[in-house]
Amino acid sequence: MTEPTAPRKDLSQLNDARPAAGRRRGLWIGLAAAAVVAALAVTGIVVATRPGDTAAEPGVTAGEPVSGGTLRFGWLGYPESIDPHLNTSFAATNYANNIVDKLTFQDPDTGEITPWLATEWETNDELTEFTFTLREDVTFSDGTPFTAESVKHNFDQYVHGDEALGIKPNGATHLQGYVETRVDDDHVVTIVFDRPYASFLQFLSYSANNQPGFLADATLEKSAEERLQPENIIATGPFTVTDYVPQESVRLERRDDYDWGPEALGHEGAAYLDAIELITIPEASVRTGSLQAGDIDASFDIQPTDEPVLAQAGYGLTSRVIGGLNVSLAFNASLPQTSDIAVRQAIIRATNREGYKQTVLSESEAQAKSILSETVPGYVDYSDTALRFDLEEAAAILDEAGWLPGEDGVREKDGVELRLKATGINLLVSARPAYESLQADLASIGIQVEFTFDTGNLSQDQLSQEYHLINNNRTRNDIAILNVNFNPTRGNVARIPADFEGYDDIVQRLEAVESTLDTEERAAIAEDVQDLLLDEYALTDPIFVPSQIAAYDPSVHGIILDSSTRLLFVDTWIEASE
Amino acid sequence: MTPGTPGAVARQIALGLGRAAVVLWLAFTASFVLLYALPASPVELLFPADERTTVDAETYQRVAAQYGFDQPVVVQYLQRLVAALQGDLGASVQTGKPVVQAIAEVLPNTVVLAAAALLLAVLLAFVVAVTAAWLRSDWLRDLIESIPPLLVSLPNFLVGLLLIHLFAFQLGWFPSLGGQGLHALVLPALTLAIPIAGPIAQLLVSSFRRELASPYVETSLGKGLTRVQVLLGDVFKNASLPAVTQAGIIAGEILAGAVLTETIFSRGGLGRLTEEAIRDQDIPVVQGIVLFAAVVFVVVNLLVDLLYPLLDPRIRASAGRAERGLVPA
Repeated sequence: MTEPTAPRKDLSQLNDARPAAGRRRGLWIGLAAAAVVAALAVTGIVVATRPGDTAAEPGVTAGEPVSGGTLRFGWLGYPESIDPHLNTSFAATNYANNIVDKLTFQDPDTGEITPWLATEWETNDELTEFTFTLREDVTFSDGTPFTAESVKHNFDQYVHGDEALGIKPNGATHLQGYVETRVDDDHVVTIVFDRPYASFLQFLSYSANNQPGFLADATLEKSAEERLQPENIIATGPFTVTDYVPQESVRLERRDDYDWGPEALGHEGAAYLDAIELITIPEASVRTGSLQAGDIDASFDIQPTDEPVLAQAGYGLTSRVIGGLNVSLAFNASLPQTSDIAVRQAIIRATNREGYKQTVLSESEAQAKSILSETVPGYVDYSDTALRFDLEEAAAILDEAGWLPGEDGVREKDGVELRLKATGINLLVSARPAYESLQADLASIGIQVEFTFDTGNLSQDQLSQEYHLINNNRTRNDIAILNVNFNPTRGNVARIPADFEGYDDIVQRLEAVESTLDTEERAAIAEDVQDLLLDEYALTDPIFVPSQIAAYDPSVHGIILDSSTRLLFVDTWIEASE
Repeated sequence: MTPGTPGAVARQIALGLGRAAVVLWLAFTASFVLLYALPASPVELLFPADERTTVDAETYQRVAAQYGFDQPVVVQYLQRLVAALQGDLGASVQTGKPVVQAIAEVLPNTVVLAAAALLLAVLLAFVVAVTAAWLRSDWLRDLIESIPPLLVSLPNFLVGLLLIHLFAFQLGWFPSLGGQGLHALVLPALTLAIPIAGPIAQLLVSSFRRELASPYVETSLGKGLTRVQVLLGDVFKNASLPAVTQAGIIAGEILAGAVLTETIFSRGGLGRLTEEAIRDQDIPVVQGIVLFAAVVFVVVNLLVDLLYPLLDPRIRASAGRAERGLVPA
């Protein structure tokens, strides 16, 4: 909730209040205010203890799925656009995930890449060319078939954009090194890169920022402006968008002829629900209240404090940690203090991840045990090794490196003080208390950190030049995210300068994640890269594992969070009311 | 020339429009300077925050060129100014939607809410003020007169949540969601009306008191009119005048209050658009809203200037004397 910022003109001066009456009036205001507070408390308590219409225990399946019904689903945001390629906000990517399909599907349970619109694939030895065989029974909602040409048209526009149509190069950052898409046959297509891209197969299943779903030619020919009309958004997914009221709601309706959901989901045929109303409810307590009052059937963006209340009242909860890079602080290796590995190691050692889990995180959020969440294939647990919490050891590391407490208790070395600037994140409720806890621990060993949580106004240049610790968290359920994020020739969030000792070593070892698809080799590389980041070069400090959680009435079943922690409604159904 | 004649009105309108044009140009320039002086790079803002480091320089350049951000600032300013004069305020960075369209789409919602809230607020304020003026019991009057400061000090946010929890979730009298229909308008309009009613009522209470102490009231009562007749006649009319001058401020209060009201009641509208555009640093949209707000203020103040002489003969008379050089203007 934003702070009220209404410029309130003080008109009370215009009132010639008499002093004697003023006192008595004050009493009346006090009484009235007390009544308001009491009324609020009463409604608050009543709402909190109101039992859910609990017919079934959550998690207990209530018989066979039934078709029909409209799911009213509340959430914080709304799609800023209904073009799946353009979509980047959380709401927008969740919406898009239900109207487009992708070539592959990452099994949320195993992390394995499984067939979807592509039935099989092969690659060349260099992992620069990927050839896909496509399903032949897939159609767009306008009746046109999904073919190799569709794949080519989509990827070409996705990477290059279209200036005449006002379409941005939405996929350019995801598909760096894209050369072309070759149509080999009606249903065989080859995508060519100028460098190895082992994680491309996983990326094809990705459902977060600018997801690579397929749109019909009719949509690709439309301008950015025309793509704000639901009738111009044509895809192959289980639902089509039929109504879009920015700020208020989006309506999705079932495609009855849909029969190409990902095999790994185990759902056959069309979706169960007739329709879905995605309803924007910006205020958190109103979302929870609407769910409890039965105005909506399910809700996303549940406040951590509401989780236990809803669970106790019998509502179902489905949560999943964000697959990818945990909430973490990347060290800025270009600034004097954090260019010293001793400082970086000491801060990592002084981070009490287990403590955050016990004190400030919600039920569904998790202790960070690596830079990756545990859903990412290749994740390794460092909680007893590189990521153990030990304040004494942290202090000892600093002593040994010559960072000694100055007069005011802040450590310094060669005239440089350990006064650091850091960025936080506003969007996650738990981040602020976790960072404040870290701030206190660091202060106790002589490191002063000042956090900025509202970072919208900071440019990349400013971050590089002034901030020692930079908040970082990203969705991508593959070790490729470490290369994308930390490789000095790519994202370089640790601002590794060209003269950094080990620069070439870091580049080479991170780039290795794109060099193989062999599961065992990839696991070894994953461990090597996590060692490199957390221990050997100590470039990042993991704080906690964020999560997403959906709450729903007990009559709702089958809400799925995929490997990108985005919603899938294809298997969702509502018990018929008696 | 007597004010109120067509010539004088035309002159006043021309003067008002001239002032309005200057105010709008200043608002445009100030918002441009402020938004472009921000440290954040407008090109970076076109990409999701967590991807900005990953975007390569070539893509940045291409997108910068597409949006004209690669031009010198002065050129950008002039281009935007010329476009704005033709009614083109650019397109939203977030959605690609033309700013004028983005504002026009949500405006009707806010206008309906604002009109309903204003009506309620004025009604509430008059009821309070007239009741306070009519009452003869000191403590009852004190009680009534304590209402306006209470209304002013009630946070919009708290009122909205209280109303929605009580009347929507608990009693189910009104819907908690949905911007459609008169039924759904009641709670949000009341939420927005309460803090606006406060200052209007305060103003009315004090002007009623002043008017009641005026000699003409004694005269009217002396002629045998009842207290109620006097109150609802001359006193009512004269006491209302100061409130009209507050119209500009009230318009501002409504726009500001709309942000919270629309958020709590999940209504689309200009308030939400403002909050989101600022949060997402959607520069063209923010600039469009600043300009729109400036237009509202300018128009409201122009209308007040034009209306006031019609409502108050004294102003007409003094302006007339000023014109004839009888009193310093």
